[in-house]
Amino acid sequence: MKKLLILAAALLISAGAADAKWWVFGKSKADVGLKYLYVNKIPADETGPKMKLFREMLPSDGLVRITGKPAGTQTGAIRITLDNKGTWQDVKFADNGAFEYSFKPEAGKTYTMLVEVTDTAGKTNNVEDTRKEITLSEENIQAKVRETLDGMFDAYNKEDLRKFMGYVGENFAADKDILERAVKRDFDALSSINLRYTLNNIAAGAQGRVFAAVTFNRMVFVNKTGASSTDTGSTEFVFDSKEGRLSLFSMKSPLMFGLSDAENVATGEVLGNTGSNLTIDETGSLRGGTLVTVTCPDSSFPAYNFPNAADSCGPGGGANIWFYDNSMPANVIGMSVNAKAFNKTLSSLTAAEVRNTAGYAGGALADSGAGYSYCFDVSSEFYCLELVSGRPTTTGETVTFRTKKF
Amino acid sequence: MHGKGRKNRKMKTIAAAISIFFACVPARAASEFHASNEFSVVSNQIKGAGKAASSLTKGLNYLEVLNVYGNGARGEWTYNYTAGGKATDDLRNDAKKLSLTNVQGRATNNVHTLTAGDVFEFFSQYSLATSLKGGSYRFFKDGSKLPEVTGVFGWAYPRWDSVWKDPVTRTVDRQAAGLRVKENFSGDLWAGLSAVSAKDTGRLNATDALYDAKNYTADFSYLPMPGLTLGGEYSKADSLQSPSAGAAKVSANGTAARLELTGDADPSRVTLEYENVEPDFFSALGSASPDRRKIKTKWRYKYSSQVTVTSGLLWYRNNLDGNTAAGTTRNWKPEVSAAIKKPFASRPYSFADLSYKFDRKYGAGQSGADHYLNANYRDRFGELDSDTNLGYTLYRTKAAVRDAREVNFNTSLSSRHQLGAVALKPAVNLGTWYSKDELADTTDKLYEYSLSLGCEAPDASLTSDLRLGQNMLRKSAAGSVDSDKFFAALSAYWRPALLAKLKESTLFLRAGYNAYSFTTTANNFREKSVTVGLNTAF
Repeated sequence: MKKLLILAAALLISAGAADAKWWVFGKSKADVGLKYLYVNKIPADETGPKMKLFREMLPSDGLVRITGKPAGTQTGAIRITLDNKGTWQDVKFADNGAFEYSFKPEAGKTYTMLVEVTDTAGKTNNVEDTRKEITLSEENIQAKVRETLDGMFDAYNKEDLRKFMGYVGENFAADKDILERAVKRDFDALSSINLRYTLNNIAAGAQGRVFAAVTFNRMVFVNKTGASSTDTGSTEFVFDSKEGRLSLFSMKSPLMFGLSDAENVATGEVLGNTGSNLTIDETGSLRGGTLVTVTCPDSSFPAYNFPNAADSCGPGGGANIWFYDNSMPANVIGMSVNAKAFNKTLSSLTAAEVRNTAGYAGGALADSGAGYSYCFDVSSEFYCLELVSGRPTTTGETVTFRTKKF
Repeated sequence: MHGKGRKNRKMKTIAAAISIFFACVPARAASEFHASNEFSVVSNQIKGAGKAASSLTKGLNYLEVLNVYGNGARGEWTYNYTAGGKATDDLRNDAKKLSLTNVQGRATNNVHTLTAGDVFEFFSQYSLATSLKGGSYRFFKDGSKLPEVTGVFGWAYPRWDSVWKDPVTRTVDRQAAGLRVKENFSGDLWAGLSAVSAKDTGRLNATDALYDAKNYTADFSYLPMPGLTLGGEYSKADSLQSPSAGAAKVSANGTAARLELTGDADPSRVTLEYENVEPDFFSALGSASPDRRKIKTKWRYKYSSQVTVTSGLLWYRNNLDGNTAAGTTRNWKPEVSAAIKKPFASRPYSFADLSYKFDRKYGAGQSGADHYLNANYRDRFGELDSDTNLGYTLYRTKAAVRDAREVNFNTSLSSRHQLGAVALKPAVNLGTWYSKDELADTTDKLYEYSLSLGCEAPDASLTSDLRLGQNMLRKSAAGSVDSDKFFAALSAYWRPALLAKLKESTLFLRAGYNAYSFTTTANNFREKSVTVGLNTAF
């Protein structure tokens, strides 16, 4: 906390040195100004110079409502134009200056809005500060969601971080800066990314927000291993509507983007998604590890060499480990190296605990059951595995497991 | 039997809500009606020994997406409705061949608003930030001092098929109900109170966790002066979790709070954020990163009309119970960037963007300090637009988890040439990525290039894009896998005169070829994909 305070102080001091007026808000150069201005309850200064509206986001009466209030001075008159100063209409206002004006927009037409406030002394606001182009889109919201998702998926497929982050809102629920660093690490870890989706559900709602649920299908190459990996599932997004476009507000797990910091990027989990989906660990590897299947003739044990990623039938023959079949019920894995069982899944193991050599021993490993991982010290290089299939049998010497280097 | 009864009750409730809505709206034809439809057929061929790794579905498949929208008025009531569906025979597109994607009806007399079907009443970030299948009612009388009141009831299913318990898309039942009261005290200040409950039933697997959770939330926004906004939220959660079948239930109580101050007036925009989400805070219907305390500052300063500097600091930690042995990690993420228009006075289209970000993370047996530097330069040289990016990342850990240096470089050159009524847009992209893993003493390199040619012929209502390129991953470690990907893609969109009568109607063609080859040739495979479709709207 002390470091935080020192840094914050340094930031403030440097800011002050840069320009003493940087922190002075609301000191408009004009004497007359607007304290606030909303378009359909959305603050005008948050929407940028252009604002695209969608039918589904308008009230049922189809009206656009502009509300505002002058700052400070006694209000004498308020006028509004929707055709770039071509024609002006007087607007009624309350004693405190608060006003409301509404109009029914036509789809596809652009309305250039400016608001003029005159105080009782005859001074006016800087009208250009209120300029905003308002358009009611001819598209439906589903087309807009598809356009946005297409853009995000394309930017992610092309590993274009700047373009991708352009689709993320400043108020991204899990923090925009955390997502940006996570996506950057995704791009360092993956290549030849290919994401596709179809929409399952869309709902436009209050405050201009849009909910979208998708089924996705993904293939990536993992730079660390050179191998490809695929997964599929369903997930959910929430978007904000600002500056005529949708910007990402939140994502649920399973994640499409930011796989390198999944626990800090996802806010919530989609109900009913039972698949195992891709995430990336702190080393740049797939968190779930690499899937390996070894099949051997009857009465020989499936075996594996970690550094060479080579399977064989053992025991022996240069293998680090071999899987006992049900003829040897007391043990599940024999090995030529030291090993340790962890009461954790492969995806939840951390490098620190795996690389701590306390508890590693030689011999054989007993079957600890589901949810356990087994880690091996191969000449001070550490590998872990988690069984996916059951253990081999005397008539079916096949085993499938996920393995990962720490 | 019990499950069937519950299913019937739920379907009846939703059907009743939709029926009430349509009973409230007039039976006459809508004053406005729009529809859009997209039908496409895709043919995929996958060949090679490693074809099982492909993410495409072999053979001929179709995808059909339909949406309708309408609105109208009767007396003082106005209404609108929207509905959509999807059909496909490709299980990679969707687990269901035929599904309802959205259905919503809404009616209002500008005081009372009824909504049924897909209901997305965003109460606040911590309380309700997801869509429900159900109904809602809102009371809001403009110009009155009466508060805005919103009530909502429904189920938090990710899709409609889950409502009728389709075996393929069935999920746990999460029944939700909520009430929100919001008062606009003036244009400067509003405050809201929300109560939301979520109750899970219908465990599908013995390991499914079920929740019975309640959230009570207060939020507000205040504008003390022009350009300055203060907003915040406080939420209290009371939840009972059944971790798995037969397991003892676990009760938890926690709070979450966030406060944000934004000052936005030339030449600065400053934000200060504080967030504290306790470990036992649970929001079944909101958006929260549990167990996190965060402080963030950001300052964007327009130094001149050409130079904007942005600096920020993000700090957060987890494990707020304070048990460091259980895995507390602390994160410091400062950053600074500068965007410079015309860094070279003689180059009117030049633009440079420089950034430095630092990640410090420590605790729970790990300690990392990563540096990210990036430089981007855009310019126009005669007819040629250029965009060049150079990035350098240094990963450093004390526990020897990831010590690596990575460099990435990308440049693109593009131009536009008008040949009569046709515009041609050629482009070339070159890129490389270099990674030196100091722990494994290995070097990985990725080279990529692509060439593309865009074409726009407005008179013929035709646009197209042809792109081809290659990615090559080269790894130095003995026995590791090198890979190559060659790709070619063509897309074309045409609006024939016959379809011009229908707004936004387009015929489209997309074709792609990908060839993947690996050091282990048994993994090689090739994909050919051709999609043709028709998009219509009116």
